[in-house]
Amino acid sequence: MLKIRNIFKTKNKVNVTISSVSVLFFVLPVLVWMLFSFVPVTNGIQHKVAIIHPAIDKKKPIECIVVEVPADSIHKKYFYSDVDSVVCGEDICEVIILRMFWDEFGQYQRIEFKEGDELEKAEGKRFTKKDYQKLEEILRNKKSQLKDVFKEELVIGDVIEHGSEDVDAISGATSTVNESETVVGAVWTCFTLWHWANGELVSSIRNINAKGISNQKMIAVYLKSDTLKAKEFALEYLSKRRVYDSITVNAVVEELKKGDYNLLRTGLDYIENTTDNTKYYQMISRVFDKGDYQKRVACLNSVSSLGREGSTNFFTQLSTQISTFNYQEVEMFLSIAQQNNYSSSVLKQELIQLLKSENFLIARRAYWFLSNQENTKKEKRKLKSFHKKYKERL
Amino acid sequence: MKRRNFIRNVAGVAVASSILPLAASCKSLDGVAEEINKGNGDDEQWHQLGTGKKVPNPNRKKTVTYDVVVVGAGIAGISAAVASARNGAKTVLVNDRPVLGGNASSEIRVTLNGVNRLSTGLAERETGIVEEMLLENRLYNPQESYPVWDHIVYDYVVREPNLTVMLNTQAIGAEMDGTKIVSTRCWQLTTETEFTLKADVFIDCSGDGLMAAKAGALYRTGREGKAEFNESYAPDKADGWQMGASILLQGRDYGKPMPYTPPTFAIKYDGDNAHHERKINNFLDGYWWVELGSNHDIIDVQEDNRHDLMGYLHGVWDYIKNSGKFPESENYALDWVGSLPGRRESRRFIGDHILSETDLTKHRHFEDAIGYGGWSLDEHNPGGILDIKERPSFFHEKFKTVYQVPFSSLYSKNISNLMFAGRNASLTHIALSSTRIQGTCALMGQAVGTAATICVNKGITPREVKNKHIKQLQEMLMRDDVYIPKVVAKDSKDLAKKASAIFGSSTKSGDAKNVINGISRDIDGEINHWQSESVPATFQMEWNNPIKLSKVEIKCDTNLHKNITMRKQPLSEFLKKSFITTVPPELLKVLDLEVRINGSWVKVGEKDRNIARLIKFNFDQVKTTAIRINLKETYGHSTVKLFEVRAYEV
Repeated sequence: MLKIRNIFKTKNKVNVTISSVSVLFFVLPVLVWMLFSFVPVTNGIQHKVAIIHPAIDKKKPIECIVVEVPADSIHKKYFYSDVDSVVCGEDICEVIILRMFWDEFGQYQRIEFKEGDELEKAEGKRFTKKDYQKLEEILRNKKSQLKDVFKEELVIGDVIEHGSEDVDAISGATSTVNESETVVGAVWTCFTLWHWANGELVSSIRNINAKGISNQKMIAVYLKSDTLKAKEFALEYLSKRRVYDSITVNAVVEELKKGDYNLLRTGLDYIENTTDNTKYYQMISRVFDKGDYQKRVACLNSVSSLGREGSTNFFTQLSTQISTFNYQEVEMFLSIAQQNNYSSSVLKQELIQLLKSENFLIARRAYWFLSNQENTKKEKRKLKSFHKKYKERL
Repeated sequence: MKRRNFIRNVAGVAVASSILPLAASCKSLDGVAEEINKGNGDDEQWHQLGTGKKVPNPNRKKTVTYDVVVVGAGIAGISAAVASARNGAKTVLVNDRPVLGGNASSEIRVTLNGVNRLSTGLAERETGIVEEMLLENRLYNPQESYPVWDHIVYDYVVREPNLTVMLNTQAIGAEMDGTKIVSTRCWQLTTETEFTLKADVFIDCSGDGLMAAKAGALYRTGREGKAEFNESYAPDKADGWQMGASILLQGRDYGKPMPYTPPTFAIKYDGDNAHHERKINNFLDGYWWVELGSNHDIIDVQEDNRHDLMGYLHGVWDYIKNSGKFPESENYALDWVGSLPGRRESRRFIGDHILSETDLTKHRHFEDAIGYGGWSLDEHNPGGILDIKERPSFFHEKFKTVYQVPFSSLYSKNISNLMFAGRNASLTHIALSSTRIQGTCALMGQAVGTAATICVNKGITPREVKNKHIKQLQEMLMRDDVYIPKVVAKDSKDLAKKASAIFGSSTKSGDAKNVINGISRDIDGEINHWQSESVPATFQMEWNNPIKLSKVEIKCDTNLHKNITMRKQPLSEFLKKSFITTVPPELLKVLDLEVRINGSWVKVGEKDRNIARLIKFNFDQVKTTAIRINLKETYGHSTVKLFEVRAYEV
């Protein structure tokens, strides 16, 4: 049986024969688990998926096998796949097979090698410990420049940057990607592995994982988890499945109330995905109620931009809270109210109070809103007084 | 004093007789050029059959007065003239060719490059006037036709109300009052008319700089020795070499075999023994290295060089088509061949500062910075096509970030009302190898055109602008969307900076207040934008006290890290990383502006097909407490970025 070891624990030197003759370039079936496996799959479930890997073909999907390993008393559920270390564009790379691991959310975890295998750089040099550390950082950076390049533009040579005018000459291996984004001399390896770690396999793994999770479990275990990635996972699939029963809605709202703006961004997709206007406004109101500035603005922006038919309950609830709003919130809320021709005695009462706000922008905005309403004599007197006092600032 | 005594250049005879063959006589008795258009016929020389009359041959002469004369309508000259006219000076743009654009025109077709690619791999595109032209070209010329580009540029220039364009007109002399140019004498080829153009300020962007030279402006040619400016890439000793001019071609695949027979003037090209960097890797666009310079007076030999360059170009095409080395060229034929060389170097006029290698490589800070460059130090090889075993250009050094260009390199040291921009500015040969790129020249042009208006308004010289009003010049340029590295805009008249509240409807990145931080692009790793989460979006500013307002100016996103210049061949996968061939998807397309008056929003402007990065709303002055910009649609991007919002009373 082949041993699996953690690359960062490896100290022993292993001779790796560098042979350009044996190079596999533009190898299509990158997943070679069928040919060669690190450990026998006993408790794993094999899943066949079709994905695009830009190092292989940017249009034509390839078929891969991902193995799902259920949780046990020691380990959480995880996925792995055996992949080629590099799909080389220059016919000079040594290819080894390594095993890549993801957690159940498709987040890259680590890579492992069979005994004796090492990654190599240009001119057959082996990766150093620092190179492995840098590779690890690269693979964990989901926003890497490697995301947006294709193999054709990955390296350039002795860049004759078109003399004064045009034309590029390509004859070597200078990376077009920032040095900080690659291990120097191993750009093809970084590119290949980054797209395994963070490419389309990720959504495949998430889909596989979600398939076996009931809505109840999605809420109990994932939505209520302590981690952002689990909560986002739950929100994504509850939204895709359109689960809007009261228990689910309540659970989602409670989490969004507790969570930060980043969670709300995913949560708003869930909220906005419902076709039930009442539910939409209920959720928005409840999240808004306990939200910080960023979350409240996001809620108001959702209402403003979606342009759904207004909800009296929503307006009434926010009307009672308006004295706690900052200026932007006041402005956004009153604009939405005006768009919906909403007014109420509750709102007017609150706005009359705001005429005395220390923040003059708020006071003036309240004045303008009230000026366009049907007002009682008392309200009119207040407005007249405000106008007299601030006529130069209106 | 006789009028001709004001004419400085004693070489006037040779110039007049060789340049102006249509004039029957242009010599006074003592041989000094005096009048261009005086003939030898009598009063009945011209028999007009239509009227039945006999009249003298017309002696057409016109004298016109402007505030600013700009000579040369390459990208630098266009930028200078448009900047001058827009800022209020009555301006004339004089061009000796029938189309505008200089090296970028359909006559020459040099790609309008700028800071295309720093060593980071990213472009840092020039903004301001050159950006406006390139954006319009992307919208109105998706077919990427060079003749259509000519007309886009023409339209861009002639629609300026303060600007007169004179084509087919060459400025060939300068009349002086001491160190000041009083007028320039011009010959308009197509109308056989001699123009005397008077102005307060003269700007020579013609490249060769005949007018400036005639005025007596000091200049140099050739390569400085290492020691003079401590330039590591300069030769040990000064010499006369000037980088050459090139003639370009465009090929086309006709889908069937297209045989080629070279003309008799073709000069055989020994491609088998050429340096490998003289690469022939396409048949659509070539070949900048078909280049001839000079060791002494490159202007003197331009016509000989033109003839030879045409011969060399056909020689290269003959090598492609008939050597048997490029069988894949079988279906290709010449679709266009240049007849006018694109020039890189000749006169470099001397300013108060001569920009040199270390100014660029050490990123020297100039208090009078007006723009930037960042093309690599790209010095073409001495000999050009005559030295094919040598690499065609030495890419001495690339820049990680942009360098500053100072105003003191853009006005004459000894002619008080003369400025210049482009390749004839005050530069060493090595500095020129980078600054000669048209995007950089455009920034120089916009700077001198803007400075000219300060000169006119205040009745001062460019040097006084540099010494006393450089902040004003910088502020004007930045307002007009020129980026000046390390300089932050602080326009005291900008009311946006006094807003009491600034916010957007959502924020994906950056901060709403970034729009008043005085830096209108993301650069050096710093974010200077506000970005919405989605489109449509709104952006709002409020003032505690009402303000009077008649102008709102917005700088939005056009993705300055990608190039939008028109190229003559399809983008390779590699180039797609740094080039796009459409209007940038990030650009705002549809938006409107509202102001709050007495509590109600009133729309004061809208754009339903915006094509500018700097979006201006001008409207009748209102008293308002807030503005709201409704950002409705981009050219495809799902978010919108703003880099700056300004507001002005007048």
